[in-house]
Amino acid sequence: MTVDDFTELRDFGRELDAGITGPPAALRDRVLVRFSPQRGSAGPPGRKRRRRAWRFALAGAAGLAAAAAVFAAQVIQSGGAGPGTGITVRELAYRTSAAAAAQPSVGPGQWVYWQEKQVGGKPDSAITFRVWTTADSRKAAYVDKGKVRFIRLSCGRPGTSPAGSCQAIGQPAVSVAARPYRGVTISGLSGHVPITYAGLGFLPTSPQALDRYLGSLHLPGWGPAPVREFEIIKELLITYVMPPALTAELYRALGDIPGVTVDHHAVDVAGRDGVGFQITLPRRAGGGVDEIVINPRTYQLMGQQLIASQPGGSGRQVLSGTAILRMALVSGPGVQPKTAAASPAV
Amino acid sequence: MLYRYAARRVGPADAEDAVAATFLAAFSARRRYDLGRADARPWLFGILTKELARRRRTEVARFRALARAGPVQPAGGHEDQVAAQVSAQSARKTLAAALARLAPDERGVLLLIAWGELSYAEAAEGLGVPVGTVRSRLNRARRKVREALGGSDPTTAAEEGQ
Repeated sequence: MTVDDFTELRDFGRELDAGITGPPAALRDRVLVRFSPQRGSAGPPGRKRRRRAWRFALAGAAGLAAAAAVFAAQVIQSGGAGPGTGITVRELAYRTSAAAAAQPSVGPGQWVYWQEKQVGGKPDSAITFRVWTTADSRKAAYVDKGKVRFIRLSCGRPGTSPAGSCQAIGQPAVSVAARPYRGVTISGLSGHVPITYAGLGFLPTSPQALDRYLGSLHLPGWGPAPVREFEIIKELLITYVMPPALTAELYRALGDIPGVTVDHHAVDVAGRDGVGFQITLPRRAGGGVDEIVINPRTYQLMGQQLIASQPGGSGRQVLSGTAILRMALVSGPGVQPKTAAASPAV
Repeated sequence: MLYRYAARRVGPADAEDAVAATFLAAFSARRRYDLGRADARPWLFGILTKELARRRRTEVARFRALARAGPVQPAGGHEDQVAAQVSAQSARKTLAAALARLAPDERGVLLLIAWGELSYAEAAEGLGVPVGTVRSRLNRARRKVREALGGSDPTTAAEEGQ
């Protein structure tokens, strides 16, 4: 009899799997907690820790990050633990990071379909629209009367664009005064990104140089450093479809920013329940609370919104915001995604 | 992936410890990660292998226990199918015993390739040894396993990278 030892071994391995139900939830917690620098002995989170996270992200060492996060994402999916009332900002950061790292890599020229609901100014000003962008947001298009129309973009030199010179879009601001699509504009309301997609690869890899670079960005009205970091990360997240490892590290960095808290009862502008990263904006930056809304089951981006502070009140008013109703990779501008399952956001 | 591999070798409880320790070690050593690597898997498997080496007694005991396990009653069916199931179970017990007897280095390489699904080059990268060393350890391990199984044709089914 011919014995194929490798076949026997593999069959044996599969039989052993029968008694293994998958990574236990306890392992998820252990991995996430152990990855959390806050649980270490080196003191409270601060500037130094953020530098470390950024360096890790921007050096791209992320083979590890990706692998670890993919694993963590698998655990999360199988464990199915929701955010609950006790989730910390750091845990939310790690869960979103894991979910992001598990996403497929997308090339900069990949077309992405977005269906979004956008609110600006008044609640009754909501508009739902569809737009196609490339992952790097260098191209954008919409469909008007059956024809694909491209949106003109103007970006500065990669990696060095000061604020205002690159009005890339991914979540384009829509002029609510105009009817669908004709009013698509590139606005500072959102998609005001001080770092171009190509510029992501030009960012300094040492923490000191990165700090100097971010500090050198002229961002009038963006507030102090923590708010500025939150805003930059938010804009990057909602504008580009970035490499998964980088997206993962941006989420992780959110967990280290002083002043960032968790909104356990976030509701996006489409009325969907979520969980949010939020930061209070200083009065001189316009006031209010800026929020990144996350799907509490998939830990993927649902949208972003600016909420007005309600002095002495429990209610909240959304000043502006975007909800991603559907997002999918498609073959080109104007191409509709085939199945609803393609959307990571819902 | 890592957990399943570890659980096959040392059982679920020890696998949990080993994988958690692996990720902690990997995170601590992330600055030494070679950015030129296209895949982090070999690196992580390499760290996991060291963690599993600390649980060598558990692993050997597990394989010996599997080798001693009583026969599972085959499901009813056609006579030939029943005979095939009995034969397969017997082979598994023999295989478990053979794995328990292998030298740790030989077992590690064999299982990284058979269960971890690493290539020779990836196994070498993960273990930090030359590919030639992987080949020699693998050849020794496979020879012993084949002999235990009643051995025969040195299959080329999993040969690659040659």
